[in-house]
Amino acid sequence: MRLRTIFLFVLPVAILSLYPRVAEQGYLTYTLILILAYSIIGFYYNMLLGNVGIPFLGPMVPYAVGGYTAGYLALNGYNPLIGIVVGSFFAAGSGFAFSLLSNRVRGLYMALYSLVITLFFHQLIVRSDIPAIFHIFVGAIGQNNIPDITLGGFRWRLGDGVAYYYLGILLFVGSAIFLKILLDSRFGVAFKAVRDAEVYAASLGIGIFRVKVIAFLVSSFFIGLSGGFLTIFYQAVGPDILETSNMLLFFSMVVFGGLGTFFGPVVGAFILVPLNNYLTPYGAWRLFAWGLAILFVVLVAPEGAVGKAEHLLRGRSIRGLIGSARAWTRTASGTSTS
Amino acid sequence: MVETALLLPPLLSAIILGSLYALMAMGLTLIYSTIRILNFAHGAFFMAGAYIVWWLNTPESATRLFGTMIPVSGLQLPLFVAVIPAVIIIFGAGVVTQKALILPLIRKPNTLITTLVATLALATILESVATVIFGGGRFSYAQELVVGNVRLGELIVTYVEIIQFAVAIGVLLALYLFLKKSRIGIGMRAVAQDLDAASLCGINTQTVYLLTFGIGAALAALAGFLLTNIIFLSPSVGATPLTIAFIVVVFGGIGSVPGTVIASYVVALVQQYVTLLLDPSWGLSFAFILMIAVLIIRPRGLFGFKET
Repeated sequence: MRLRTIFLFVLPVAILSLYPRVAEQGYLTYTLILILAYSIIGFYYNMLLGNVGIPFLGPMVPYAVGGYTAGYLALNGYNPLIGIVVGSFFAAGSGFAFSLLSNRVRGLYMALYSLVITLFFHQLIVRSDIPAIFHIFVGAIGQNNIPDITLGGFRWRLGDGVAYYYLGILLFVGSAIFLKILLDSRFGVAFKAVRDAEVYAASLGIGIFRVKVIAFLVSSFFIGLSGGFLTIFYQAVGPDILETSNMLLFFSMVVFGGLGTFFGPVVGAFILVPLNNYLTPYGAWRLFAWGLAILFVVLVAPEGAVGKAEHLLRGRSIRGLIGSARAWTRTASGTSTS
Repeated sequence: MVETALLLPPLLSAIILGSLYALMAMGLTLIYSTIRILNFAHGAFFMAGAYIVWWLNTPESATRLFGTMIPVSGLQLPLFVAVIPAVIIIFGAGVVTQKALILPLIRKPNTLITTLVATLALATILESVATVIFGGGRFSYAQELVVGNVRLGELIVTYVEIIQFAVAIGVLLALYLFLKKSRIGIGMRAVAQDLDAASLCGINTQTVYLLTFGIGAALAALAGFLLTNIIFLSPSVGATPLTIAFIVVVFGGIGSVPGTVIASYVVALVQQYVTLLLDPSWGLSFAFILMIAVLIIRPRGLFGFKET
C-alpha cells in the first residue's frame, strides 16, 4: 500500500515540482496549471458523483461563486489570496444552500434540477438592468483586469506564472490529502452507504441529510477554491464558465478516469485538458474529437480508465479474485446508482 | 393596470407555443418512460432535423451569403416535402443511437451517469459536425412556410402559427392513438410499465427500444422544423428548446404523458405573461423559478411516479 502511494502520488508530484527547473516553459506550464486546478475539481466532483452517488450537474455554480468572489475582492483592493480563501467559503455556502433546497430530490430529477439551477444562475448574472448584480458580476462581459498576486515582492504572472504553478501543486496536494483522509474516515464509509442503499443506511443510523450536506459543503469548498485560483490566474472571470460545455468537461473528466476511483479524475484531467487546449486551433473539429474520445471511453470502458486498469490488474492474484467476486455479488444484488 | 384586450394575444401564443413544447418534450418523455434514460442529444436531433430541411430546401444562390460556400443539395424541395426525409433520417439516427450507444450502456452499472455523458457527447459531436459543414452562421429558410394571416376579432394569427399548432396537436393525437391502439404501441406501454413482464409476454423489447428512441428523435426533428420557421437556425439552436423541454418534463414528472402536456402549456403561459407584464428577458427565468419551486414542494414533479 505504501509503495503504491509513492508510485502513484509522491513520485508524480515530485516530477511535477521539478519540471520548471529542467524544461522549457510556456504554454505547457499554462496547461499544467489548468490540469492541476481541474484535478481538484475532478477530485471533489467525483466524490459527489462517484462516492456519494448524487447525479449533480451543477459543479459550475460553486466554481463561479468562488471565482467571482475572489475576483470581486481582488478588484476592490484586497489581497487576491484572501479573495481565494473567502471565495471558497462562499462557494461552500452555495453548496450548503443547494443541499438544503435539494434535500428531497433524487436521481434524474437531481440531475436536471442542478442543471436548471446552473442555467438560472447564468441568466441572472448576465443581466445588466439590476445595478447590484451588474456591480458584482459585470454582466455578460465578466470581471476583467483582476489584480495579480504580489506576495513576496514580485508579480506572480511573470516567468510564465511559475509561482502560480507551485501554488497549484500546493493546492492539489492539499486537497488530495484532505480527500483521502475524508474518504478513509467514518464519512467515507457513510458516503458509500448512502450511495449503495440509502434506506438501509438510514436504518443503520446514518443521517442521510447530514451526510449529503457535508458532502456538498466540502466539495463546493474545494471546487470554489479551484475556481478562485483559476480566476486570479486568468485575471478574468465571465459567465461563460456556467455554460453546459464546461459541465461536460468536468463531468467527462470524472467519467473518463473512472467514477468513484481516487485517481480517476486526475487521469481524466491529464488526458482531456490537453486535448481541449491543444486542439483549439482546429475550431469545431476540437469538439468533434473530444466527443468521440468520450464516447469511445464510455463504450469501451464504462467504468473509466482507472476503473478498467484496476479491473484488469485485479484478476492477477487470489486477493483480486475475491475482490472481483465481491464486486460481482454487488452488481448481482442490484445496487446500482439510479 | 394592463387592459383586458392586451391579455388575449399572449394566451393565444401560449397555446401555440405550448403545443410545440409538448411536441418537443414528448420525445424525452417517451424515451424516458420506456428506456429509463434521459436523452441529452434531443436538442441536437432538433437542430439536425432543421438543418436537413434547410439543406434540401435552400436554392443554391443563398449559399454565398457569408463569403464562403455552404453546401446545399440544390433540390429546392418545398418545405412541406423536405420535412419528410428529414424526419425519416432523424428517426434512423435515433435507431442507430439506441443500437450502438444506449443498448451497450443500459446493461452495465451506473447507467444514469454513463448514458448521460454519452448522449451529451453525441450532442457535442452533432453540433460540431453542423458547425463544420454549415459554419456557425445563422440561417433562415429561403421562403416562408405559408404567407398570410387571419383576423379573429382583435387577434391576428398567421397561417404559420396555425400550421404549427395543427401539426403539433395532430402528431400528438396520432401518437396517442398509436400508443393506445396499435400492437407496437401497446408493446411500448407494456415495456414502460414492466420490462420483465413484457418480455415474458413475448414482446420483443429490443425492437420496442429501437422504435421508441427513433420516434423520440423524430419528434425532436419535427419540432425543430416547426420552430425554425419562426427562429433562426444555428448549430446551437437546440439548446434553448432542450432547456425548456427539461423544465417541462421535470415540472410534469419525468415519464408522465399527461404531466408533460399540462406542464408544456403552463410553462408557455408563464413565459408569455411574464413577457407581457414584465420584460421578455425574464420569460425563461420565471420558467426556471417555477420549476425550482415545484421541485421543492413535489420532488417528483406534478405527476411523477416512483422509480421501481
